[in-house]
Amino acid sequence: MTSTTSAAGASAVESAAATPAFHITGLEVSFRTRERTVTPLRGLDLDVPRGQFLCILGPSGQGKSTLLRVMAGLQPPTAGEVLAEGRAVTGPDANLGMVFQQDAIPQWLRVRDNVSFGPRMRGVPASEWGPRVDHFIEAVGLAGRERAWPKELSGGMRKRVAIAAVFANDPDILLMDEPFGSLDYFTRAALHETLLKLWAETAKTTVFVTHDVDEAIKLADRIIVVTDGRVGLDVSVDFDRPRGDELRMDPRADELRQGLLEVLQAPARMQS
Amino acid sequence: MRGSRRARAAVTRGRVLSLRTRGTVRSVLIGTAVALVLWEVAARILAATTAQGDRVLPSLTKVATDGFLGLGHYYKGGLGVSVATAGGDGSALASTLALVENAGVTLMRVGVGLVLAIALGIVLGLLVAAVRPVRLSVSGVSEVLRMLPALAMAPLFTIWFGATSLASVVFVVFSVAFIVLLATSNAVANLRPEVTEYPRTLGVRGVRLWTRVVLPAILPEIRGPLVFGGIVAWASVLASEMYGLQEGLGYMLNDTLRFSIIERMVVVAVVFSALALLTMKLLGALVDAVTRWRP
Repeated sequence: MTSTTSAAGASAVESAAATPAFHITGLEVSFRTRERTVTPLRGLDLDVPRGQFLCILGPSGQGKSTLLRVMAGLQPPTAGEVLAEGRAVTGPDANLGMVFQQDAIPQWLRVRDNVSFGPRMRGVPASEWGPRVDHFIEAVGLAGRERAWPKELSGGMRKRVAIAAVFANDPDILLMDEPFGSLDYFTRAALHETLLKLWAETAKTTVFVTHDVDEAIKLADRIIVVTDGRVGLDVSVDFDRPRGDELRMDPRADELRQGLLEVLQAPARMQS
Repeated sequence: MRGSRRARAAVTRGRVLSLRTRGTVRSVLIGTAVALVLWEVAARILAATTAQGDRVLPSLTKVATDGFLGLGHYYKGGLGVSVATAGGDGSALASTLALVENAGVTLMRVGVGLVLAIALGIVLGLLVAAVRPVRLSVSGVSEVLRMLPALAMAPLFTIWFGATSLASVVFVVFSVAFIVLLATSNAVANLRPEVTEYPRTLGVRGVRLWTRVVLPAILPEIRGPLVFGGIVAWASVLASEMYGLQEGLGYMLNDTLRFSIIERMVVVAVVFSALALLTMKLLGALVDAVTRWRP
């Protein structure tokens, strides 16, 4: 026992810089619904290096949101190990920030109170969070709307509040669950710009779940597809940033898009 | 011609289809006027056709004169005016003082009871929602207790606490806290998961999650039950004041009924209803004020 601990300690010191943002091995998750047991993830292994922008792609019902919720500590795994920054994930944590698909920001807090909500609730002194909060409100383009209620904002602007809030809370890891799924094309494109700008600025490890191939290609360093409860496809995306519309014409991007679509359509074909 | 106009009217009405159930000021005034006229007509008919009609259903004039002035009888000299000066039975001053004094007593009982009941109901409701053993042990009991005819329990509280204000207040708390408790725990159960999950991912936890997230989030949903609780508080205080207490609108109401002085009873009942309505509106406005943020 003692020797194990010291060995682990030694290796931790040795590889402090190399500790991945996520180290997931043998992850299994099953739910009991009324009729049957569903096992969306079975034996999934995944390592996410620090600073990476990872997109988890897949059609709905393939467990990609479940995987993200496990990473956020919102869903306890049935079996397997999930380490974030070298520590076991046992529940939600301020270091594991999340942007939800739904409108999840508290409706009863004005924009600035919403963005500062995390640090305030964790007892961070105002002198510390004040400048950061103002900076991220500015960065997402909500300067001047600090006193607005969420109900007075559009859906896209409420997403901006959620993004500013999670950055202001300063987690090492940012998890996003189809955050822009319900937005129109232009709003979504604008939010991509904002997100990439903040990602470049803060270098946070980002895990982004989407069902949109183009969105994944535009954002990701690496794309994985979850199929049959495992990482079915794992590709790195090394196009130069910033990625604009020219990516639509790029033959390599087109090849990647075709490949991804083919993998994505496979389970759908099986179902129908 | 007439047919086409009616059709057009229907279309117009259809376009602005609204499921409005609350009255406008005008509709309330008209409704009240119609009710008063019907009452007066019925009273006149009864008075003309039966010997004792005016005692069973007094005319509005009798309510406004004999009914109101007779309330001076209930003035006990609590507002700095001596009973002798006030004039007693038949004096407008004494009648007004009697109404103010007794309404004040009842209002105090309702107010204290309501505040305690809402505080207790919300705290217990959140506890029920938060702590599984509490939920399991309380939910069954509260479901059974809810089926009790609460108003019939009023004498029990007089037996326990005597014919005192305390009995009234505790009884109000007993009947209203249940409503608030059940509404609170139900509202928590109905919250969308992300409402609490998002703050948890920000690192909000423990008691703060309940006081700073869950509580504000459920306020819009418990608005209705809170307003309803206001009405129940008045019904409860009335029931409790009927048993042995010697002050309050409920006592007056009971006493007038005991001697079948309907014209006096009507005056007390009108004051009672007005205060109950006011409480309801006030509670609603209060919740609206703290939920200005709701979409």
